[in-house]
Amino acid sequence: MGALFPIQSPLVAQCSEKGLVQSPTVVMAERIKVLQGNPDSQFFESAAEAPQTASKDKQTAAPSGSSATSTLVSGASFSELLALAIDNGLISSQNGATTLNLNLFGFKALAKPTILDKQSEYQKGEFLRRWGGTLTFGGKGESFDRDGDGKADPALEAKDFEDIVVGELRYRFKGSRDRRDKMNVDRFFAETDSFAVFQTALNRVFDSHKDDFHPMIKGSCYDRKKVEEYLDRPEMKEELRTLAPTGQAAEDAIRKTNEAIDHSAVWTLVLGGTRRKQDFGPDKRMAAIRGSIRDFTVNLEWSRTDGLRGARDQALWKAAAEYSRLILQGNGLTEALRKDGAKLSGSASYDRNENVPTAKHPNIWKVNTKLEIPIVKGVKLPISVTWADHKDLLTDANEVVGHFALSIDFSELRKIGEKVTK
Amino acid sequence: MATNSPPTRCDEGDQDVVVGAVTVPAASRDRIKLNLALCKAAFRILVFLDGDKKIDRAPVNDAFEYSLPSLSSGDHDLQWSYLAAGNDWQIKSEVSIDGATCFLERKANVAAVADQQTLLTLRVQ
Repeated sequence: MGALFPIQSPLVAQCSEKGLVQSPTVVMAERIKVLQGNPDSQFFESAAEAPQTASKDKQTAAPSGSSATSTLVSGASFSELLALAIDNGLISSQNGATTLNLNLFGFKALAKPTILDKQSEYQKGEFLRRWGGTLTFGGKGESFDRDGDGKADPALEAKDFEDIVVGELRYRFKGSRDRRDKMNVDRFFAETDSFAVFQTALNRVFDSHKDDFHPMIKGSCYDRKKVEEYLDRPEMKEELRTLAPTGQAAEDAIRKTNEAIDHSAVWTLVLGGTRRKQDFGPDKRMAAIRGSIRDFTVNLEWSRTDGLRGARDQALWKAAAEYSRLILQGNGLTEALRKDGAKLSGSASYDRNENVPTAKHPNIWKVNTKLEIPIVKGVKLPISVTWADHKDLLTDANEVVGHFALSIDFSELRKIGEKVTK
Repeated sequence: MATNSPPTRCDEGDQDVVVGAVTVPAASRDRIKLNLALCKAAFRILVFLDGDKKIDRAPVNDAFEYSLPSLSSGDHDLQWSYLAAGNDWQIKSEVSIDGATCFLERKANVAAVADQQTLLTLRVQ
């Protein structure tokens, strides 16, 4: 068979060699990108830059940063699975506490990596990906009056795993920002028909000139110089120029659809609790609804802490909303600002404390606006203005005027200064 | 295609054989197949043969196979285009004649729609 298909021989050059090109459409694509004005178009972000989990609200859990070395076909043994779980952050340990990430899909993917590779398998895990949570054992308790002398005693470190157990369970009950979930796949293809229009047009241009292109075949590749000379002809340039807007329209549609998916509404219910042995503090329970809609994030949270020594249970209600968006991208004074943009956010919160002895005010309102300016890569200068309905709540501010507080956080800049000095 | 992720079906197999034209013996003119391994995303697949759109299908998961009709003697152009609903996709394209691979190409996360296609000329004897 090899004699019939000489190209299969490893001795035969492939089209990546100088002077050759795989097909005229490769050169046409290069020209079209230049005509579109963005030869390095990156509408399809690289996996490293783009969030595979599109937002912080998404609960999947495909271990995207996996350094797993398991093979495709063989399932991992329990000890391998445990090691992979630790490598992927599904089990972590910090400050005497061990946290188990209740990311069931993540564990399933570790045991069977093909579910990340095969879309049909991945889609079967949609229900599993709606669930998330953590279970933490050990750690440090709370400072409280343990012996009844009226003074708070220091918090104790847990000695056994069951001394302190903190659990949180999350269920995304509406929406998805995972581009691979079926609802988003269907939406993506419904809104990107322009891709087919462009590809059809590209094929049509090639086909209408195929009799000129075929003689440019040199061995098993096309002669790049001849293809380029042909495409440099004014009439061909004009023909490719007519393709550029179609290509741009396809890229725009793809980008806009992906952005819409990445910012679609997602709602999550959270239930949690803390169970501690007597010396480590009171037990707690909490419930919350968290939502993200475009650039808005809203939270409604309730928590209840058991009262100690006959005291009434403490309850806290909290409602908060935040709007944030990036500004000045591509227009900033510094490279970091141009690339990352500055994050402008506005938030408002309301806290209601019931039977909380340490809270000075039963009702607390706060409004905050914040601008985070990137100075250099990885270093931001946050500037914020906060209003609160009680002046004594405005702590850690540079300047307080009436109910307003101005804060400029120089800590990240200071760290750079210290490094330079050293 | 070096990534930190576990290897996929698209990583498996022989080295790429990226050519622009293949010779098809007359006896094999009706035994040409296009096989695509699709990884980490759902895809839209378009197939063109000699300027005619033969396939436009979405979503396509995991794999795609297209058997070409019997071809007459002379040059024929097979183009396949692909669009992934995902940002970390991979594709392995394979053209075989009589079961023997004559073209093998892997692509992942290419930058622009203009690059999301491959055209192969089949020179039927």
